[in-house]
Amino acid sequence: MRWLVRTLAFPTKEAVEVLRQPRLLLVLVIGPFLILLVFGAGLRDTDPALSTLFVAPDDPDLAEQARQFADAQEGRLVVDDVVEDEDAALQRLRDGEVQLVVAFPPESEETVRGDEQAVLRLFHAQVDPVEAQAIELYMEAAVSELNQQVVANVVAEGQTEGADVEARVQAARAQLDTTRAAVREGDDERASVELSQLRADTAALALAAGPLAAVAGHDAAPGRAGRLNERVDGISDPEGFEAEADRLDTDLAAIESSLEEFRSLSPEVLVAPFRGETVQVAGESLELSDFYAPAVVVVLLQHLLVTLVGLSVVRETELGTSELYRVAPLRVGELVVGKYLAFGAIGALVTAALVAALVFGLGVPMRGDWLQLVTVLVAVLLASAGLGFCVAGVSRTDSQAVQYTMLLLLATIFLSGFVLSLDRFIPQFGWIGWLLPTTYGVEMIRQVMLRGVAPSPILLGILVGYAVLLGALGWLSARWRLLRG
Amino acid sequence: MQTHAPSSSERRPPRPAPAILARGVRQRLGGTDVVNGLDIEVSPGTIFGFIGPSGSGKTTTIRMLTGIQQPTEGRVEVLGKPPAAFSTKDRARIGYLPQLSVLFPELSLWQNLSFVASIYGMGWPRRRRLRRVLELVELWDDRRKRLRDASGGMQRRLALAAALVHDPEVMFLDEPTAGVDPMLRRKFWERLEALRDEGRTLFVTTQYVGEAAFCDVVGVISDGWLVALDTPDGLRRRAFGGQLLDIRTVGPLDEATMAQLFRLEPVLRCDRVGADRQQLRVVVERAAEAIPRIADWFDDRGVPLESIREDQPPFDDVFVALVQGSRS
Repeated sequence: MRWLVRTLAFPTKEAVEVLRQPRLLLVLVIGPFLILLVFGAGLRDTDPALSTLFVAPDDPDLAEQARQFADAQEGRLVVDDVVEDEDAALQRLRDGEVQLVVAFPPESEETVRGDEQAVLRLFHAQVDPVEAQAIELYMEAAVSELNQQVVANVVAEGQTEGADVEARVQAARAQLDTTRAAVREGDDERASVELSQLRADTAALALAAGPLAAVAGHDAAPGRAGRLNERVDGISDPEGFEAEADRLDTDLAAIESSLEEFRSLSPEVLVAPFRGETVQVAGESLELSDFYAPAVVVVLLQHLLVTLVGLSVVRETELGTSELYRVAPLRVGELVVGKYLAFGAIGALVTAALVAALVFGLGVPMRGDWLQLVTVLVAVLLASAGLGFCVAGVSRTDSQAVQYTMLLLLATIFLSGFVLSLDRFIPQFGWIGWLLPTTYGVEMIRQVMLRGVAPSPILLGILVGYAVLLGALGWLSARWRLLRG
Repeated sequence: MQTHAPSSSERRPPRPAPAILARGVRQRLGGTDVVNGLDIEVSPGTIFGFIGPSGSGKTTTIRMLTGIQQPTEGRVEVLGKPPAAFSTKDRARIGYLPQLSVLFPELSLWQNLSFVASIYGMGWPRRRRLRRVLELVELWDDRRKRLRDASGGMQRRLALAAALVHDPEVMFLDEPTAGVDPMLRRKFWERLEALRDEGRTLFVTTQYVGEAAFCDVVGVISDGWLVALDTPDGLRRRAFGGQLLDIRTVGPLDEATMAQLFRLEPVLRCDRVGADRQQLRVVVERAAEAIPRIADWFDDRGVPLESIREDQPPFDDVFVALVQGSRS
């Protein structure tokens, strides 16, 4: 049982050393936690509003367009002013007084009538490529919206005109009935007069109803409108009068129906019949902070374990305690297992506190199984402790150990999928992230906590393999230190 | 007046197997021979003092004897085994006090000692043993004090407690009194003597040459070479060619009398001390036998003596004489 006594020598000693250095815990856990919390909770879900200058020539129509554009982009744009001088506006942009300048094209109507697109220019001074790309995407969406608005206005005017046309159709159908009555009574003279009136009505209708019916989306309507004059000519023949009159009435009824429908639809639907809608099937949608929080636990756990184990081993070498270990009947395995137990217990306590704070304090969702979460975290903990031994193995002084630990933390933040998805990396570099144990931990903790599914067995297997490998390396490193100093 | 422990050969019969043995040991570090041809043999139950200036090879020797370093050449054995072949049981029979404090500043004295007891496999309960050891080094009342808040003397006493907490047979103490005030040093040596009297073997290095007097056998090392190995008395003898007498006459002593004294049989050397021509330092084979004969000789010649006594020069002088002698 002496081996057990020797092994258990470390948990108490390490725990007392850590607890007697509250600043160390503060720096290692609370500090990064608060920073990441501010990052997660403080980040906007939407793009920030941009202070914008509009440049529009002194034209009431353009000014109205600019006003509509600004209204449509409310929340994304904050209108600083509407000016006429584009150069002055650009100077204010360069001076940093505004963030965006939207220049409306002069004589846009004439340009469009000349069969050319009028160019709406959007100037910005962003050097951040991500922000610049966001502005370009925004520009595309905004111009598309503006185009839709213009077309919607045209359609609305068409709908107003459609009311007159519809009245004409109704008048033509009444005239057809009058003509039909005159023909049936055998009053040829009156029938001829009524037929002339009907011809005049349908000729006007053929011109007006065709384009409107086409806009309304009835493919057959323009054909019907074009055939009206032929139908009227057909009913001039007394033998086929009734049949042709019925056809004419059917066409007029169809045109009337199309126009009625056209007028009943909103212009916005007519110009943009489709809109996109995304549905998230992995449970309720998440806040940005909810998404990052579980990964924070993994990142902090690794940072804590690597730092504590690394510094502990290196300091014992610097202090000369490892010399005492070499003279004492202490085996390498007892030392390594003792440290695993010591820092494993500390790491477990800190992790439990962090998870509790996130789930019960900040309301981060925990959709999966707690046991699976514990499994993932234990695997991360063991791999991180092994990594700590490896850091100690390559560090001669504690300042070197701190530097390596910070390097590892940077790699973890940028390459483990913590901030940016690994899919965003090009294949030549994306694999580097998978060299870090945290990458597996981040992915699996998101699976368990956010998706509510079991951790991937492959990822878990690799992480456990990593933990074993790093533990073996840690054992070799500790053995080398004990035997060679 | 100096006190020193009797040599082990005077107190008990020699044992056949030495507790510590080094034969032709050489250690080469960074292209330099740090220890050269070291031959020592330490009997069980003795205090072996290893004395030398800083950088002379004392710590390197201890590191070889404890198995921290392997000698480049030669044979080392402790308790009959080369340290490299020690089992955990063998290691539990050895205590080690490193030159610098290697314990943990954030832990209390008690917690540090308890930790060391644990890595030596001392099971529970061990409170009584820890208390006894802390009382032995007079740290029981300060046991709750953090090591970082303890004085240098307390830290050395704790290190001593840590070296003997598991009741080892052989203890290697690397400069246990370094940085400790003279009063405390004296107490330290009293405790080491008590440990020796309990049957432990102590291998103690020190820069304080005067501490040689507390040892049973002393090895003097300089520039990696063992320049002397003897009892404290033997070292004095070796340093000055015999024992020293301090003689003071009532009146000035003339040259003729000096020449006659030099020819006297027990006298090996005779030098004037001081300018008043009344004081002499005389080297003799054995002071106890020589003092009455020399006193009679002066009496026969009608030269009144103010005093005649054995002179025990400080070990600093002994050490300087030995090192200078070896270098020359």
